[in-house]
Amino acid sequence: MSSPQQSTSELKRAKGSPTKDFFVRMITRDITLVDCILDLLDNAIDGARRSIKRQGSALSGSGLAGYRANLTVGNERFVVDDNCGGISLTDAVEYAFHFGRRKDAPHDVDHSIGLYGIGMKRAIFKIGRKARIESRPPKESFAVEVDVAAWEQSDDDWDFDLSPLEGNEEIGTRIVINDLYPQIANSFADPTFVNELIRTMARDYAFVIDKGFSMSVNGTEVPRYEYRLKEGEDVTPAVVEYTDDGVNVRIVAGLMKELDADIPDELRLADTEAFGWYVVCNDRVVLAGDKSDLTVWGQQGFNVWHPQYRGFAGFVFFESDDPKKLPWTTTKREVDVSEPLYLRALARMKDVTSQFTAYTNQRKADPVEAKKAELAATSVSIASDLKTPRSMKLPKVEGKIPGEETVTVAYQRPRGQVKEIAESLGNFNMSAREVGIRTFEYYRKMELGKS
Amino acid sequence: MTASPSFQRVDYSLRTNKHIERRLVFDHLRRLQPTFPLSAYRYLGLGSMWFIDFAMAHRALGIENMWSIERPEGAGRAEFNKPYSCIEVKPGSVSSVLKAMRAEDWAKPTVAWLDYDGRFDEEVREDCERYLKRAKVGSVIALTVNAHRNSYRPGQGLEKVNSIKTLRDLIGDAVPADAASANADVSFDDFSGVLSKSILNFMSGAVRRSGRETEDLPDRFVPLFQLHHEDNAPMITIGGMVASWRQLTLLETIFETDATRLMAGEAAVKDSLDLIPITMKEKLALDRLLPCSPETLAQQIVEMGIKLEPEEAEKYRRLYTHFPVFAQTMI
Repeated sequence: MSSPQQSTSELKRAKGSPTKDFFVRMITRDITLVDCILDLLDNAIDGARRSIKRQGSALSGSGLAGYRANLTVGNERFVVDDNCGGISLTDAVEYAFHFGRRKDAPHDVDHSIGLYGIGMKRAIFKIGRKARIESRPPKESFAVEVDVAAWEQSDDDWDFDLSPLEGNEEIGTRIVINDLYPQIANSFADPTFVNELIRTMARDYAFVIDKGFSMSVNGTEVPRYEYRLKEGEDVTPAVVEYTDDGVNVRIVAGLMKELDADIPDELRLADTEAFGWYVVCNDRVVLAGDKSDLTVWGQQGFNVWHPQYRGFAGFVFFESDDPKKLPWTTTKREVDVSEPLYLRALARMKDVTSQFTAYTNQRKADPVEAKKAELAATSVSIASDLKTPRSMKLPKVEGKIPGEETVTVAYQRPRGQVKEIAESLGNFNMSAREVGIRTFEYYRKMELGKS
Repeated sequence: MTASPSFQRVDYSLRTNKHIERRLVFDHLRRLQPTFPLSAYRYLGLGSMWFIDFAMAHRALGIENMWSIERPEGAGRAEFNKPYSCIEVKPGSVSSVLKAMRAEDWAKPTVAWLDYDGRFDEEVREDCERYLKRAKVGSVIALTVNAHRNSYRPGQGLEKVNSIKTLRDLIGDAVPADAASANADVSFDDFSGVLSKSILNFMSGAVRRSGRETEDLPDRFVPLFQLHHEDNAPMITIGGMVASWRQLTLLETIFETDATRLMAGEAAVKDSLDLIPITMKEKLALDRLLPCSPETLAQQIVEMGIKLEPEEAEKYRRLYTHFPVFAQTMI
């Protein structure tokens, strides 16, 4: 507000700096709780990589063995505890508590997944009102107490106080968040949320866990999930690799699971979840089992995802020493579809996908033989076995001599009655379609004596 | 599972363990009184023709507003057999009755015991979800379902589907992450425990996902029952209360524990009821020794020549106050 006493020269600048509560609300609004937690794990993984780089060892094979991050989530508090090198006092004073990555921040870790210098603060603001960060780097341990309400009181002072920490505990970082927001505490107390978190961690850090990094939630070890594709005499996944603007791009796509002989009417989500495209940036899965136009599906005239494709999986890996070059957004849960680097990759992803979708049409001529060939192939690991470029190979389907013309029989019956017959046929999960076929065949056999 | 000798098999109509389970459930509910005025609640159940749980809810809890859901074809007979005038027989399925409930029906806190014979399937899942989403805070749910592993393994022979996969397809992340590895199934004996835990997790998740709140704070699910009983088929009864934050503090006082432990299931009555039937003569002989320590009982039954296995006698010692007496009469 201007006052009569103010001179015009004092009015030349309009205030543009945000209030802290507005800032806190905005940065926490568009990210899910799970993704906030993954941000903290990203920091731990970067810490491990930094620590390895400091020790001068190369990152390969089980390069992250021995490093771990343990989460404890509950109704009262959230804790993430790692042994990944800690934050050095200099980094803390100059960079780690700064909002946003400073231009002069040192580039001290290759293949980093920490992007914007916002993850830790955003996670704290999202989860609770009070936090304590204890960092124990090789020297000069310190602690930071964050009281969000007190910090929000002053709009001018954005800094946090550091205090020295004694003791000889293990090198690493420990973040404890207390005074949780009610909805957050509600989620943490719910075992289904905890299981969802474990499943998401297993899926999104599969390539990090594969390198030896271990994670746990409330004492449960996050399982090692190995993505595999089929390879054999008639089946080979496509592997394409190139460098684009300093980013190494690797595309691997093929058959994850044999296709169905026919497509069941009722498709369960759980069964189709694994199929589709995966986008992986510096070993971190950003999109998993995508069936939307964020990847190829329905993109500018390309086929939309169809249940006929279940069994297909494609992975595109972007790797760069400079994470800003990778096509992800701040939440690391979306890709920037306007990024030219990503658009160029999409064109190649479409090439391999269309080979596969064409095959799913061809195989209709003889699905039984095609399935035999698919089943004969074994599964190989994407992380370790599919490194060298190769073309996609899929079973050759020779059309059989056309048989008798077929018609489709469709009718509706009460769900309970169909379930009753399914149960009587020995499989209560049998699809309605299968029940229809079996009862038709039964009639032919019993009344007409034909099989 | 090994077949038990015929004298250990149960006269199905009497169902000793089911009876003990009912007693445990209603005893546990009585602990909530008078903090929670259960006598002013509605009892919602599947009374069949016998209404045994209704009689207990009326006598033990003083509930006078009772709905019994019955298949339309049995509703007339149920109407004739209902023991009290305060019982209203609602013809239809649980699903159709819940769907037809109006806002004023949901406004009354309820104790619902959905006592099914069959397995936990899509329909039961939806009934639970609907109830947990709409029931007035302070309402209680108990759910009884079949817990035989084969009921969750569709297919035949080698084609049989893993029971954990069936559960994951049904309730996803409610199934503990470490329940079983991708290819191995959980063992027969462990299945009912995994099923109980999974359904309780599911209930807790259903309350959270509904986004329901009281005074701007999220409502919580507090497990109250985690029982397993076996008269013929293995069955589980699980459930709990949808509690507002104020009610959560009341439950903390009743059960003398904190909210975290309450939500983790510390207040749930837990037991596995698989007592064999014992004769009246054996019962009277055992009763004369009770109460006493497990060691004393073990020693005394030998001395008195009671030919019961020590573990069976011990089960009886633990639950004898709830053990039913069935008698045949001429009327």
